[in-house]
Amino acid sequence: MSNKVKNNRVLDLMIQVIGVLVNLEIIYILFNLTQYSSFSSNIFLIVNGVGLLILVLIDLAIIFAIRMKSKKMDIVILVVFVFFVFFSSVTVYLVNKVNQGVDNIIVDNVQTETVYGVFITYKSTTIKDVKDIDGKTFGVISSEEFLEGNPLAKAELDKNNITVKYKEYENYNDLYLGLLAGEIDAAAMPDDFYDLFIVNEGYEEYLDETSIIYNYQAKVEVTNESDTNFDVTKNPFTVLIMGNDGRLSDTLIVATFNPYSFKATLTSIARDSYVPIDCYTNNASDKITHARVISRQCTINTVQNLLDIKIDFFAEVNFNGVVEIVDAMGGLLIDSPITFVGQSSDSERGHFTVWVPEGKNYLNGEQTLAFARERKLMPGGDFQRQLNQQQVISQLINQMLSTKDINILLSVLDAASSNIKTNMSLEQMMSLFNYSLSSMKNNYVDSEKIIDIQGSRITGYGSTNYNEAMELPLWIYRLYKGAIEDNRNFIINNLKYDYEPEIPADIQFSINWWTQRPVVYLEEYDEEKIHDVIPDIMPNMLSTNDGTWTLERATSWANSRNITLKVNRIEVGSPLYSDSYVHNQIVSQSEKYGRKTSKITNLTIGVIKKVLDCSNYDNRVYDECQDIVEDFVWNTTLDDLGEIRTWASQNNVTLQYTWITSDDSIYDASKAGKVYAQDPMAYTKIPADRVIRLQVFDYPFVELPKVDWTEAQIDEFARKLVNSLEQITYIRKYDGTKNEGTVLKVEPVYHERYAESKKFRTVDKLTLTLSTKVEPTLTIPNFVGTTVVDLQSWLDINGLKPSITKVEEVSEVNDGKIISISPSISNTSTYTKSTFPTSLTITVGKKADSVPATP
Amino acid sequence: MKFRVTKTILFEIIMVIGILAILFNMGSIVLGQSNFDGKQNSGLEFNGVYAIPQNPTELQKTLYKALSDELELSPDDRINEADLVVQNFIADYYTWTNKAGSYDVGGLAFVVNHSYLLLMDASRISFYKDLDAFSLKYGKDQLIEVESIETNAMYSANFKFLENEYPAYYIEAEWTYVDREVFPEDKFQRRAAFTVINYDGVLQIAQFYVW
Repeated sequence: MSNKVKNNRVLDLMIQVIGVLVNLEIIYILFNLTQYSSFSSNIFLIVNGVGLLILVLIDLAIIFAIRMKSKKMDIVILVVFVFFVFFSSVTVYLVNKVNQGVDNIIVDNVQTETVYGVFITYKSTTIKDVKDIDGKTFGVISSEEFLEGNPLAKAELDKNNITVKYKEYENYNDLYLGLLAGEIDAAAMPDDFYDLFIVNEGYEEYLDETSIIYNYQAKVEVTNESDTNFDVTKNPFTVLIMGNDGRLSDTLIVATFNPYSFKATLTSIARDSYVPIDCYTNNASDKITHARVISRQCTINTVQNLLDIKIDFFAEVNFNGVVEIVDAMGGLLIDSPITFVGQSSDSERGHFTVWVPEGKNYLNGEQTLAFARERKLMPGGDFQRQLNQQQVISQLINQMLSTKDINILLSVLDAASSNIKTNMSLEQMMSLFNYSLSSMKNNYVDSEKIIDIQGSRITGYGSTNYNEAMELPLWIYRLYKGAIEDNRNFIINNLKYDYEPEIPADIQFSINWWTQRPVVYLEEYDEEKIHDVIPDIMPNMLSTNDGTWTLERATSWANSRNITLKVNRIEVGSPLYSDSYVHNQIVSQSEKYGRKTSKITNLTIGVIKKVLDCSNYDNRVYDECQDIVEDFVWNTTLDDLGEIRTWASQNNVTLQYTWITSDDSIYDASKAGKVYAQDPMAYTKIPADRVIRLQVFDYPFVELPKVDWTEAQIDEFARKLVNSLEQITYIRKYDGTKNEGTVLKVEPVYHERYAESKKFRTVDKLTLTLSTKVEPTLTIPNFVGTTVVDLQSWLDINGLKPSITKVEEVSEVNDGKIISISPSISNTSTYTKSTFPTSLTITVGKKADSVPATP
Repeated sequence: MKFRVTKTILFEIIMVIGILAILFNMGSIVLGQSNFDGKQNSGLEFNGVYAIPQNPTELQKTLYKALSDELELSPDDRINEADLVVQNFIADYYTWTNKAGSYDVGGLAFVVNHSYLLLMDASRISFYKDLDAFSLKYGKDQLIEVESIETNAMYSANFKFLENEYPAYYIEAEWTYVDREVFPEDKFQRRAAFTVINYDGVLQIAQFYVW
């Protein structure tokens, strides 16, 4: 055989192998795409026709190449085929990827799922391993529907050859309470039991003391009730939308869709709704969110029973799914009533890092999730959250229906594949999608406006259950019966299509009118509200939900209940201490939250003690900064300690002084009158004896003026005084022998402390008698009408010795009294001593009989 | 040209199998077509100003042609155009035989642009509410279908909308439905008074009420 023939055979063989490969790939692609044909039969027929044409052409080319003995032809065909292989392989990859995504979303009627379970103990020192359970009492759930709580746990014990005494409980909560109460030694739980219980206030401290001693996983078959023959284009249907956070259904929305009217309803059920749980023994009531922990079907059945409706399909989304799907869509147009910073999708609670602006904005995945989850910051709380979730769903549907970009749809499918589960079949979804698009296509109105989505929610009221076993109050949400009935009717009405129609009333319309939709539900119903009687219980003093608990508040609370309060001070260095706490904040309590106060006689609390700066008036509210000594040193502006004395008087404090005089070495004249030191120190407690000792700089001593000091010396002295005008009293005394202003006499007033030592301070007072050369004018009384004795007495007092001539004059009236004096002296006279007359003639009255004859 | 006949038989068989497989697949697509009974036409007929669906009744066709012709004339006095707008609206809104469902509210193209969704929402909870139930009970072709319309058009005072005033026409209209043997068409609305305004150069219905 020649090389040429040999080469041709090799080429032929290669063409045949590749040809078979291309044939198989084309058939594979077309058969796999057929499941999406309900999306549009015509398009898929065309695709199949094109595929058929390609296949025929390829096979004819192969036959032609084999029959021809042309090496060039073989090579050309081979190159073309290689291209086809590449192209079809990429297509196969994409088809497989889409199929895989769809398969991930759609669950089969019977599906194998992996279940994770644990065995737990509470504060056990003896049980450290699963083998330690042998012979002990082991808690399980009575119903076998609780897989991790009963059949799987029992199987694991059998597998480990462990024999236990079983004690059965109705639900996981009761089982856990039994464990805490010591009724059992260990309990069977789902692996995420922590998430199940942590939502209840007060559980955290118990969970911290709970230990996992055994982990296991098991494959189980989960039955999903669904009817794949259900024609969603001819029958209205219900979908239970479950937004899951771990194993809890955080969001529950019953959606309905009527393919005739294109009306959809979204009815939200609050996650804390206290309703009979289908899979609990005797349908015991619990928060509806807990039903999902048991199983998806348990939640579905519970909702069915609550509303007395049939749930046709479910759609289950986890929180991360929202983020990825919205991001895949390039954002979602959301109208937020407020601006807030919400929680991220991070599994750790309390990560508030996602900013959501007020108003209509395109939000990314994280923002949309934060918007759908936010409850506390929303006006209206959980109710507004339910409306927000409905808005997210409506927008998702509308944007999906208006999306024409196949890349976006594939991205959404990719994101949904790992985050969404539904029992609606691919054919049902495709036919519904196709039906919707076809129906909308011819409508005058934009596609997204065709589906009339109306929201509602089952209203109720907050209430509290008191759990005697655990001694804990549990917040629940009781639904109004009227709200359940109204929402049921709302749902049923949208599911009706084959009913007795009514002739419509004549329609009237104006563009100035606004159509008011019928009211679906009421915020409140006139029903008797059920509230359990909650006993007076120990509050959670560590919580700030109801304001910060401080020592003062706790004291008041304890006193009003005759509970003896013991306080442990938590200072820097203690594990309980944190700078974020305020002074006096309570950080530990000996009695657990929820315990009846009737059982409490003593309470020990840990109270943050910070080193308070009592100079800060904000801290004066605390006991530590009350009844304290003020700072009297230096910076006080005391006027002879007047303010200190006032303070001492007001605070019932005795002041003791040590005076630092200018004789002391430490004396500082500039600090005169101010406190140098104090005992106790400033901002410390006033001592028990309420005595405060002060060292005070006294005013400096100064040399007193001396007799004969001149006026200049006096001026110099006066400048040393603190306030000479107030301190010095001047007296002028005539002394013709001395210079004007010469000191004649000094009369100091010593402070009592220096009376003995006769030390004069710059603040003390004194009287100075100074000489004057100006003879003072005599102050002369009016002597007329007085006696000569009076006159002589005044003259003696003033040192005057004039010669006096006495003349008597008959006078009946002025007998013995001076009638006149010559020269005249009276109060108008301006005589001085030296100018006073040297002789005086005094006329004195005398009765007639006694008047002697004039000589 | 020499052919190697015997060596191509395998591929001829493969080709036939492939063709049969694809044909089988196409057959399954045809047989498995979705069950819904939605509208199969596509798009809307549009005369540059107004639109009607492509499945109109004979009356709709006549009235739409008359309206289109009137638009061509562009007369100064537009009262005839206003009259035809009302007739076209009545023929579409009050005819259910060509509606896909209660969501498919007719005549919206003749209502003021900004507000046609208001009419759609109002209709879906009132006049159109039981359309689907009527359709299931009597059959779609037995529903109401406007047969004839009598109008009396006249000028009106200006119509106030959003603080603006628009020139308006007042048109009283009465209409009849195609007789049905069982369907109670005689109990449905048969008269209304319309206000048509000149909104940005286009005559559109601003309100209608029973007179």
